[in-house]
Amino acid sequence: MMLTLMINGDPVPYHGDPRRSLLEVLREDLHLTGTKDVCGEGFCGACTVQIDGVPKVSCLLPVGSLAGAEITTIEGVSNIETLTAVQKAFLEYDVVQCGMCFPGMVLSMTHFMAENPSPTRAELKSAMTGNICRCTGYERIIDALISLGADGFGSADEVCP
Amino acid sequence: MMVISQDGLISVTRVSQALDILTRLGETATVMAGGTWVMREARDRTFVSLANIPDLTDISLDAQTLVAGSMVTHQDLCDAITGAPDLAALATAAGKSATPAIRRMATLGGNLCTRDFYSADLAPALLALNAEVDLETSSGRQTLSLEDYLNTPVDRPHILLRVTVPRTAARSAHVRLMQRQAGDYPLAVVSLSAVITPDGALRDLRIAVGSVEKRARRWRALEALCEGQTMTSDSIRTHAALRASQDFVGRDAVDGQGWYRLRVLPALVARAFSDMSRTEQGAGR
Repeated sequence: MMLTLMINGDPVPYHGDPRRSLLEVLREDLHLTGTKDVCGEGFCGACTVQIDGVPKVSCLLPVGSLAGAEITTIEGVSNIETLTAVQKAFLEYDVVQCGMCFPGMVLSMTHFMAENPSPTRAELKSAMTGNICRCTGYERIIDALISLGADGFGSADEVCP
Repeated sequence: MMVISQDGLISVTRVSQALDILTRLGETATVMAGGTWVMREARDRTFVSLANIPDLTDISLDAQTLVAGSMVTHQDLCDAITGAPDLAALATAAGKSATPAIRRMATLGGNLCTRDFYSADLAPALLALNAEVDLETSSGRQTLSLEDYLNTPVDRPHILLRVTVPRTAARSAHVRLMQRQAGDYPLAVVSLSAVITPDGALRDLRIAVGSVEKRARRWRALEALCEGQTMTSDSIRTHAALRASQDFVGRDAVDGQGWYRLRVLPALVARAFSDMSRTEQGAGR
């Protein structure tokens, strides 16, 4: 199958089996290894990407269904010189431990915080369902997100590391 | 006209095309709705994607009915019906199942049609709400109660087009038990719908159980014991405890043993009853 994927704003031609998961294509073909391959069954959220701005698990997305979709991976949420507010909060609160969950956390929580800028801890916990941190660093992740507050959630170019 | 026709994934724009291809390819092909099951269990088959068929993602809600297309996602379904007291069980089922990311992908049709998936949340909720399904088969269109659809053989191949739920004055609730608080398949599910009369009696009671056996089904023996009666959480729990092992054979699986699924059923029935009674809108866990 031949199609063009739009990944982090760039058109990427794809030739191959349309049933391959987006996760496989990102990591094996395009070497975008920020998207992590962990459970492969949609439970853990380590492979979360955004499809047209909405977080989804790339391990269960057949690449043949994504023609015309805007795909954003962790490599595309900000550029090399800037961090998003969520990334900066994660850095400041030192939430990253082994590093397997946090790309998915960033993509899920960036979307959630944009829709819910002043969440409660309970709402954050509910929103984090499906992004499993095997290091069990949840409370610090929540602290980081709470710190953003209603006024602290800016666009990517407003916050530098 | 077919949009994409390639080895491995065929995207169609009409239901009749899907039926033609499924008939021609037989067991080597499978319907792809949200993809969350076939990507795990059927990647050796040709996917026939329904994503580009118009109308299958439509939802309409008025005072008489809820009509939801089979390609509606769990999240879209939840968003469309939240706040409707009679549909609270379905809103909870759609809004609490799996994870947020999966709820944005997994569809209503996939949840009802995937017979190898035993822990569907929408199936018991829709059984409790007396839903009907519209199907397209090679011999024409059929309308069946969801109960008949789940429990009797249907022409294959077929495409589930939409689900219709009658609106009522009932309240409803949906309770699910997991090993963890969220993000797991439920060990057992109870959905319940009833009208509570001014004197406190239950009318039009429907109780459905999911995840305990391979297929969700109504708990008619318990319904018969409670219909027309004034119940409390304790009394309905007692009735459920007396009936559970007579009416169900618990499913042994990695996540839980059959005896345990039966053991927790009475408590889930009591919780569902309590949730339904406590608020006008019902509630869920």
